[in-house]
Amino acid sequence: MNVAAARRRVPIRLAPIAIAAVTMTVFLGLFVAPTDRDQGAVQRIMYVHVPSAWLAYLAFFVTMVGSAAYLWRRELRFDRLAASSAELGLLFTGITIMSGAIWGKATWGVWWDWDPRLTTTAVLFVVYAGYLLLRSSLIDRIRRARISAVLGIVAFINVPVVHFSVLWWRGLHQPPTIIRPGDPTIDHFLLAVLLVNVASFTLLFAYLLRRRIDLEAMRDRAESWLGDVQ
Amino acid sequence: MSDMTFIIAAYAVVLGGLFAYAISLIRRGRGAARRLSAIESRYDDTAARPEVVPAREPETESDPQSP
Repeated sequence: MNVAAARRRVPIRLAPIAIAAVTMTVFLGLFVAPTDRDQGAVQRIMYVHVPSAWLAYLAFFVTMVGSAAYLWRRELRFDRLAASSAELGLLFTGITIMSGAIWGKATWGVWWDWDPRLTTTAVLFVVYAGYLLLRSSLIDRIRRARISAVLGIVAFINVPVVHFSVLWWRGLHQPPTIIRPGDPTIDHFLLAVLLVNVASFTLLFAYLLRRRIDLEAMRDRAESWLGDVQ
Repeated sequence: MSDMTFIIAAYAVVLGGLFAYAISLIRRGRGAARRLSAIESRYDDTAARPEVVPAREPETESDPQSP
């Protein structure tokens, strides 16, 4: 595959769709959704905070699936998928932590607390930052893929721990309102807006993931050329 | 700080983070494409590929005194 072909593979048409969807997300969250009875206007942070958290889960799930697929099939395209998704997961986890800190300051009065949900999310961030650091420290391409795949599977164990931490331990963070035993405890209209926002963020995730995979493919191709020469 | 300040700050963090990442991804992609293009154009000529370099060695290392 030459550079022109690599560029053609980038889903250009997905970009305006994803941008339009995220713009709609902002509009819905700020102007359409009704003000929450208990928290007031500051609850509108939920429309960007929760989709970011879910996308982090999804990204790490994709990393786990890509890692398992690599160990099974030994094809580098699965390793590229895992690495690309891990970077995006790290981005969304960072965004979740920062937007959550702002929401926490507004509702709890503190930017940070060693609450189980916050602490496990911080651990998740550090683990996947370690995953990416490990990748960058391994020169041999096959060894990098193999070791990263093992870590990509093991690291995913922390995702359910993050999600259920609010049920397993007491803390400041509220328990889950949607993915929980029984019916969602959120108003149906708020839930609809939230789900639209999750869909918009997922579109953006798909676009960024595709671009990131293409970048990884170009790097691999450059590495293989230089490997031939050395 | 008012509620609106917190809301604007949170949206700025999320959208700003995503925007910054997208820009960085586009820039890295262009950089990688340029690098790959340079490498490919350097070695795309089959005469310069590593596989054919040994074939040229006898010519360059031949003894000029020999007939």
